[in-house]
Amino acid sequence: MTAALLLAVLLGAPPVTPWVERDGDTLHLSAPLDQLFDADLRRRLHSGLTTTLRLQIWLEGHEDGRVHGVFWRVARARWDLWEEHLTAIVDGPDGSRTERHADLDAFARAFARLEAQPLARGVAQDDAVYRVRVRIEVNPLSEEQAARMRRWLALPGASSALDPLGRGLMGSFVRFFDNLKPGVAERTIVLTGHPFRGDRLPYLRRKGSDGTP
Amino acid sequence: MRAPRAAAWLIAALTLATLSPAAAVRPPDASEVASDPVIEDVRLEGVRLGRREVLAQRLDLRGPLDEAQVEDARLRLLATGLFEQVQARLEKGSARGRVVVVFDCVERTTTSLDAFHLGVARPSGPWLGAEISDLDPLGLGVTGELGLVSSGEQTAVQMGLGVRDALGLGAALKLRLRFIDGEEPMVGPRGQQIDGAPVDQVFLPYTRAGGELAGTYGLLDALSLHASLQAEWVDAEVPGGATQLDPDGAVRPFRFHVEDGAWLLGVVALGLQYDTRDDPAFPARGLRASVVTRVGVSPDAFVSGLAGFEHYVALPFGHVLRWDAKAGAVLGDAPFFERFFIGDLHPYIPPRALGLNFARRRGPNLVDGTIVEQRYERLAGRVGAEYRIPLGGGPRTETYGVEFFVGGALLSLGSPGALREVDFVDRRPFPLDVAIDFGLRAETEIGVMGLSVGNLLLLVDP
Repeated sequence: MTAALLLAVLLGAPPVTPWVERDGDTLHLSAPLDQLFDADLRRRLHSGLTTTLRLQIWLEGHEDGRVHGVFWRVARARWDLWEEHLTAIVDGPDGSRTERHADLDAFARAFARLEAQPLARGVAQDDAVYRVRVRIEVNPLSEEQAARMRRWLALPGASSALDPLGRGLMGSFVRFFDNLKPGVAERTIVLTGHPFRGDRLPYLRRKGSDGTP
Repeated sequence: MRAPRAAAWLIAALTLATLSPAAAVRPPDASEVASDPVIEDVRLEGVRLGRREVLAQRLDLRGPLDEAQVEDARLRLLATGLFEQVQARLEKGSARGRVVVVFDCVERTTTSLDAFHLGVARPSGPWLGAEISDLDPLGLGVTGELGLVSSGEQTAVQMGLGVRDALGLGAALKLRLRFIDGEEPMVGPRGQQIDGAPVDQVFLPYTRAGGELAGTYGLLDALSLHASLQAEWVDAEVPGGATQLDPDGAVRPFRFHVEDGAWLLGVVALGLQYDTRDDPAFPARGLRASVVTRVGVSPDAFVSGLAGFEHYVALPFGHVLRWDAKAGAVLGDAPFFERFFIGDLHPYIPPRALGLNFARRRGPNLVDGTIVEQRYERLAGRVGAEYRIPLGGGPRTETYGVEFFVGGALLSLGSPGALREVDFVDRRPFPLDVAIDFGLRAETEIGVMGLSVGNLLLLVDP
């Protein structure tokens, strides 16, 4: 029974769990988000062409969904086929920088592995419940790009005839087709952390010079 | 106070992220790349063999690698509508500095059911039909379409073939063949008779057979030019002894607006469309404007013009307001099927399906105007508005959308000669009517569909 419960908990848990700690009224986030870089994403980053990644993390109230803090980071990364290294221009709240990495793992760690990253300030130490949400967009689309793609996908066989008085005058219509939805990016990875209470967080453990807590 | 400040921070941060140059796809600075590699070859993976060569040639990628051009080629592949996903990548070429551009494509189902015709109305009873099209049924770059509707007494068949890029000019061409075996239920303004005896309708048997060559050319991103050439053989059997009861109470010979016997119809049409809507199924902003002119011989000459305008305004809470105006006029002696029909204008009356009308239903005349007498006329106009409330999902979200809509319109339909007659006996100034419709619209993985009061009135015959 215990084993079954444990298995159920393990299966139900997200593959990557954000870890939140408190330092006064500031909440810090640690999360190995580089583990979200799956084979498909790695293939894109290895394409030799520029890939844009937009990472967004926010802390929200579990009940009302109100945002209490946010962190974001954007990278434009390109793998050099011949030199076999990855160059990335990374923008974030702390500015812009250019990085060079010997492999994808190193880039993924630098971009998405967060260690005690301040996420929200002024969070009261009370019984309010919060949770962390993570969103990684791969090659995000502008509104114009998304609208163009939607037109291409939704009107494959649209008539070339003009008919301003024709069907759909009052919006009544039926059309069956392979209705693909382009979304807001080529691909979106979403992660939602477990709810937690503001007064039951562990205090931030400062790491020693050797990396140990 | 903390939460609003945090929300404002989020909005500002996300706006910065969106507006930042980092949000746009562009290659790293030139200083980071020694020299641009040269494209040695272009390869399409996951594409049916017949399509592969044609598509690769159209991409026209050569010379030094330009990521913007590769992205443009990727978007052009998506624009064909043949793929649900296209990803570009590079492979090493035969020597250092040479690359092969590979597009990994996932083909999609390209068959669509474009229209579904179903209704019940006197005198035809039930009718059923559908229009199906496919972007490339044989993998040869040729589009196909087929339409059929029938009530047993009346039948229309339409089939077409087309190319999406004729002569490499980017123009879409389509050839349609059409056959209509019709029996139009004609009604007079205030009644109709045959040999002096009142009847519910006067049937007009007719046959139309012919074709249409239609082309579309994108002038700008949102502006397209439409042109068509239509030729038909028409054979109508105008019944003898038919009379109509006019608004002034006089009984006059029935005006069928069609030549008796066999004759030829020729029509040239030219139109422009400007479309900036952000979504074809659930637009929230943008506009669509179109104007089309038709010049025909039947055998008398006629000219018709039709203009339409729709404007979508995004409101708070995801609500959308649409207002629209449409107007058209026919000059000359056009056959009845080239005139404006009440069913094409009014949501409570079945529209024509593949050119066929099955109902003798008149306008409901909610404002006690004279539109109840109108059927096939030479002037048409409409001003309307629609309010849409999203119930979940929709554009710019990852989920499909459902929405509630309510719309209203002021409609007018008439012919100048008939108006003069009406003025003589009836002081009501203009054939006007009001239409109100409301219902639900939804988009799913298998398409878009709507259900409204207007739809229900097509399935019952009040």
